[in-house]
Amino acid sequence: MGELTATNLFESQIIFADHKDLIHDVAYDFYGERMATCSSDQYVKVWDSDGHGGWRLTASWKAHHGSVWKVTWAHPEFGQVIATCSFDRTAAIWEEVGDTAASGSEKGLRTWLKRSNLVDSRTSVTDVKFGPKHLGLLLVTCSADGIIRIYEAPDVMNLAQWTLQHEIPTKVSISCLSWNPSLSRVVHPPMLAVGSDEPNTTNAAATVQGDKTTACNGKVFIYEYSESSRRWTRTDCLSSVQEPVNDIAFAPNLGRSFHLLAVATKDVRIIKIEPIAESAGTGAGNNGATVRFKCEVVAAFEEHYSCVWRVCWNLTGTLLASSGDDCAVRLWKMQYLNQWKCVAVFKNEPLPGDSPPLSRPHTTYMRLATMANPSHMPFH
Amino acid sequence: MIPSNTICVSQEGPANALALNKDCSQVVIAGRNVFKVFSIGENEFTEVCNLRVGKNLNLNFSSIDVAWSTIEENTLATAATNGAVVVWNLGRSGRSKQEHVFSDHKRTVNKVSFHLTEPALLISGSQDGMMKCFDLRMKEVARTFISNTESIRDVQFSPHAAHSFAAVSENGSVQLWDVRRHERCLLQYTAHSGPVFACDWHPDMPWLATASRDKTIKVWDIYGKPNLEHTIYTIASVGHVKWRPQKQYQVASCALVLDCAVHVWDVRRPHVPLATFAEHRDVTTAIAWLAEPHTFLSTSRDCSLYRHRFSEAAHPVLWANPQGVCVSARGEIAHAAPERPLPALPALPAAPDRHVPGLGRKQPTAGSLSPHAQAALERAFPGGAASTLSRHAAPGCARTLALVACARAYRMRGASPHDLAQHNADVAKAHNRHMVSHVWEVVRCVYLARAAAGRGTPAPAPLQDRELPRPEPPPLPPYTHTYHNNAVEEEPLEEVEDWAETQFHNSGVLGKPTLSIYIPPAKPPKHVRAEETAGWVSAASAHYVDTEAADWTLPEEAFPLRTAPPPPAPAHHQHPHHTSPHHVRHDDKEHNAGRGGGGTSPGGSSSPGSGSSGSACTAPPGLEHAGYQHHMHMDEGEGGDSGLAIRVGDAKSPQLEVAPLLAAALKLHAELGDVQTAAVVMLVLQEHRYHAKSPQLEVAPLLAAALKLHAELGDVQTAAVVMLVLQEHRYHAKSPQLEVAPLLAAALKLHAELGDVQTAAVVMLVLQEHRYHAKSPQLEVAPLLAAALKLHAELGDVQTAAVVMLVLQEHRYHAKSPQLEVAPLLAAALKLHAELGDVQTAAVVMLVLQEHRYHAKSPQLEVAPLLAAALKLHAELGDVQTAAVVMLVLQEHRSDLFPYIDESLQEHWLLGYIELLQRHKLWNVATEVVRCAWLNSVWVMSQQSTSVAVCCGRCGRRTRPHAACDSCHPHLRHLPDLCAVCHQVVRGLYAWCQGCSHGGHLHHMRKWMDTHQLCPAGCGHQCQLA
Repeated sequence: MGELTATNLFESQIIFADHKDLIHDVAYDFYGERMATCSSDQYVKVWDSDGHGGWRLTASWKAHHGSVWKVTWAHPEFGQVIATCSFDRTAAIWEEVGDTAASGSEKGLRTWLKRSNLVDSRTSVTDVKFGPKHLGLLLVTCSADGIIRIYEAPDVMNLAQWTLQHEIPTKVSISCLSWNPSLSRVVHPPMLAVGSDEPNTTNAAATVQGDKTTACNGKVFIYEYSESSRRWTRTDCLSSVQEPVNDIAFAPNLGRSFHLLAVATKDVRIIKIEPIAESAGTGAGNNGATVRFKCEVVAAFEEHYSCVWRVCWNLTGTLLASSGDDCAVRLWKMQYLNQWKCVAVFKNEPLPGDSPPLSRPHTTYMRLATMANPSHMPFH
Repeated sequence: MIPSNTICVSQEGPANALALNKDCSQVVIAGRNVFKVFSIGENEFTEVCNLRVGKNLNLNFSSIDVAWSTIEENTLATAATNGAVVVWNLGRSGRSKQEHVFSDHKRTVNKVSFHLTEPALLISGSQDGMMKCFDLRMKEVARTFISNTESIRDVQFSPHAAHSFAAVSENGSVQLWDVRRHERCLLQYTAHSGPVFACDWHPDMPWLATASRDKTIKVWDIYGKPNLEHTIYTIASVGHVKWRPQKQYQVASCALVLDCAVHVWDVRRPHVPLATFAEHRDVTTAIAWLAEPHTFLSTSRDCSLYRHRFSEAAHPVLWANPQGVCVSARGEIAHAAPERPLPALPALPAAPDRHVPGLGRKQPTAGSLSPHAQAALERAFPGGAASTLSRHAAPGCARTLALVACARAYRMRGASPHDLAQHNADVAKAHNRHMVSHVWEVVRCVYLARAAAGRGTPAPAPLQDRELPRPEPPPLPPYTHTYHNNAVEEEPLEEVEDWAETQFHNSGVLGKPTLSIYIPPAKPPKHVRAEETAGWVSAASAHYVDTEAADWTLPEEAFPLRTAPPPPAPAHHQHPHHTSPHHVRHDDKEHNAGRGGGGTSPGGSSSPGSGSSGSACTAPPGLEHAGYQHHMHMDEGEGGDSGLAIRVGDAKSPQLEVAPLLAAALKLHAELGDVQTAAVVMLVLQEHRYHAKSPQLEVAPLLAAALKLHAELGDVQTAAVVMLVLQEHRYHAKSPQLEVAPLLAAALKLHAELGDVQTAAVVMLVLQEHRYHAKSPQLEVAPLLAAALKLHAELGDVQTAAVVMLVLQEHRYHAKSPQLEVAPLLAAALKLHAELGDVQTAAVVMLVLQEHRYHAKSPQLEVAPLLAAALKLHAELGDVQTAAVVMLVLQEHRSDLFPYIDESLQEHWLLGYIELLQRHKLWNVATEVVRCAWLNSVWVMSQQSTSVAVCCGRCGRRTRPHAACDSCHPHLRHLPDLCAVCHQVVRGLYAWCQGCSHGGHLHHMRKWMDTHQLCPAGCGHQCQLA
């Protein structure tokens, strides 16, 4: 069974990032060959894979005047473009310029130019995401004051021009958002999920006020774009999530009839969102915005024993990675019978007291937990 | 509304400054329209005195800054916008407290400040660039300091050197003066790139903090040569800065614009504020600490005066997301985590402290940290903060590799569907994707038959085809060959079964019973033959055993069943993963159920292939037993007979060959940790030997050993079952029924004692059955079964009931009834499975059913929906590849399959697969998919944003498509394009420079470009080969 052990072996390597403060986000590009990191030290760094498992720093620049919360890549069809958002109340769009092809062998750092600065928010911009490619070049930001803003670059060749298409107030502070990446244009209208980190006390107060939109005490809201009314409307609120949400991620949907949404809150949750056929809402038709979903918590894991900060899906939506205050990455995978199980834990040993930070990259190996029945999974 | 420890009072106008008296019991605030003294109570501010009184409220009352003498209780000084410095005496009787006005500055005075030890000394800094030291006793200007810079924004006496003071100016420079020497400053340096708005001396260290419009706060060590110790990066111009008392590394700041909040920073963590106070709704204009580290006052342009308590601070360091994780398209995981995680804070404040300041709402909820937690937090950054960035990757990520490899190897067109399917099935199997391989096999089978049917030969033709070359599943065990050749006659049904056996190997659920039990009336020869070869099983007993097997096989789902009989190693090779872990699980569960006593409730979902032993899938124990029993029976009656016995009997080869093969198989199992299978196999082997030659004498010790093994493994139940089987065996071998009864009774008792009523019931049933065969007609079966089903249903085991119904159905069908009834029942069972979340079983059953129907009568019309369902299943499980490629392969037959798949879903799958391929940079495959696609929306992808302009390679002019150049010389017109390097005709790939359109063989061009800059054609262009 040598083959099995080989696949179960995970290689861990530490990259000396040299950020001067906490790294808040790591993002791979479309192909997984470039990586961007952003940090409270207001810098963004871009790393390129050398193809043999190593990563080389190719750009590093001060991007904002505050902590950079998130970084995200645009689809490569639009060029080498990233967007960042920051505590300094702005989001920025950066494009790599210069001779990417010719002097690839040069040691020199590549330059990233700020193409646009989105300054509409009056509070910290907590998340930024590019929309699915088939919708054009869209960008959505959300801010701590609860406003979701959707920008569009009408001309994909001109990244300096972004028009604010929609402004959606939510009345609660928004910490994270996720586009539904579904490729199906017909069945699934453009959809966004946002998560709120509003502490429960004030939300309760808001509910007392009798505001209908916040009557649902949930922390995750689903917004959908209606082609007929040309507006984004809140179509659902997941009442199953009551705790402040730190991160949210739709699983890539390559052909499912339902959506999987991972939520990082006090625990890791996987929520299955199944659009209900329009039988119920036929009377209202398309414009009724009454298309509801059947939401079901497929799994909830408390194994982090503490606050969960991030969740991320793999390419096919079959594997979920989560990280929490226990500083461990846990991988979750769907096993037989739609059960999700932990298949691996990567833990960075916290450094003892005053020992100097590890400055040298080193490699450790970790054995993946054996999966119950690997060959029963069709995707194996 | 306001947090209890924070107090606030609103004014008629915004205050520009505030100052505390010596013992911090009173505060004065001053602005253009406000000038008041408040006393600071525990829960409120009380106005003590309003200084803005009198008849002529001139500009002297319009203050920029205010200072309260640190020595004299009643002495105040204000800096007025008109350049006046006004001294006030609160002790004066009468309404006006104004003591003296110094009108020496020409322009606005920005700052006044008292000497820390000399009560009569007051210093001012003005917009005119001068600082003046006033002597309050003499009521005159003692000295004038000319900065020679731009406007002075702040002056502060040093607490460390009695006579020196610092002054900061709008050109970014900091000056250090000796108050006794006005000629020149002691020290001057440029601190910031923009105006410096404020400075503050550290109470203990020789540090000066400066705040600037360049959005930074800098901390300078002014001992000797100024040295930049720390830089704090904020999001806005910094207007004021104040060190926090008793906290060496903490400094409070407020912004001049944009940011309304007051931030307290730890200079060692310069990017994220340690604490934030966001009560103000407009920019904060001044801050002052109450001589102790937990309270400070602030005034704001929103006309309010606040007292903040540290216990109500928000802590951005806590809610700043400390982690990042990302999974790449390559399956790599990047993870950023803090090197030192934040200290575990007391649970109580955990929830509320994560509030977001600056929401723009009136009262942001302030989180409250206990003093202990605050202290822990403050200790958390001795060396700042940093993250560890690590990546985790599987060196060869199996899933990705299989996906990519399959994507590369799959063929999507260019042959008939069944050939493609076979190719793809082999590909899938080669990459260990058995489920996918199954799907392909089904496709192959279905379309092979169809192809055959198309040729006009109904069923036998493909059979013949396959019988002879027998190429398909490569690792077909040898015995199958023999079995096949010998046993399979021309009868199509049998072929079916054989196929099901070999292909599904484990999953011939329905096929199995059909083969050995119910078909017999239809085809006696087989059983006769079996009898002959085996030589020991009477037809009746075989039937009996099989019926039993059939009845209870289904719930087990096929997989484990077929595992138990020991196919020689190669057979295992096909599904090692499938079978063995299964088996182990099963039996484990059995243990648990058995030992757990009567409490075991047969869970709703018996998980047939359940690899995952979750709580939700406790299999009904009875089932397992029955299944187990089966193994045994089958081993004897069926597995042994159809597999081993036949082989041994028919093929001439002696046992010599069987033994090593079996031994290998057992070893394999043992390596996989599946001792139980090994034991069972031993049993079967036992059986086999017994049949082959040997007397029972050998069986007993071996069985005893096996039982011991089981018992040692804690599996008493299995032992019991084996005992039963052994019993059975004896019964067949020689003995009358008389012996069975007591033994069975004993076994039942045993089970009952173990709390396993279900098994008891099942055994009773079997016994029943047995009786039935022995003497009685079928009439008795029905009520018994019904009772058993009721029992199951009562026990909550709907699945078993359904499956039994199925079997019963099956039985009826064979017995008398038409297939019409099977379908709804199966549908119900599948639904049941699906509801129970067991999509995979449903799919496999569907597949099998598929198979079955097809063989039974095969109206091809029915194939499509089932296949569509299977594809959907795969897609939902995340395997869009299979769904998409099957569709592509079958697109010629799309008329029958595709109606069952929405066009939008087809598009979704194709787009999903294309995206997947693109992520892995499999452009060629992706393009192939686009080319093969029948959907306009997909197909058009290759048509979009691609325009092809054709130029003449010689003259560079644009030509019409598919035509020679019009403008070139007619002689040249039809000459082919030559390689610019070797001047030969280029066939195949022609690489050219897009700049000058000269080119040639790719390798020639590459070689040329390695050494040259210019075009090989000599046109002088600096070519670039993209």
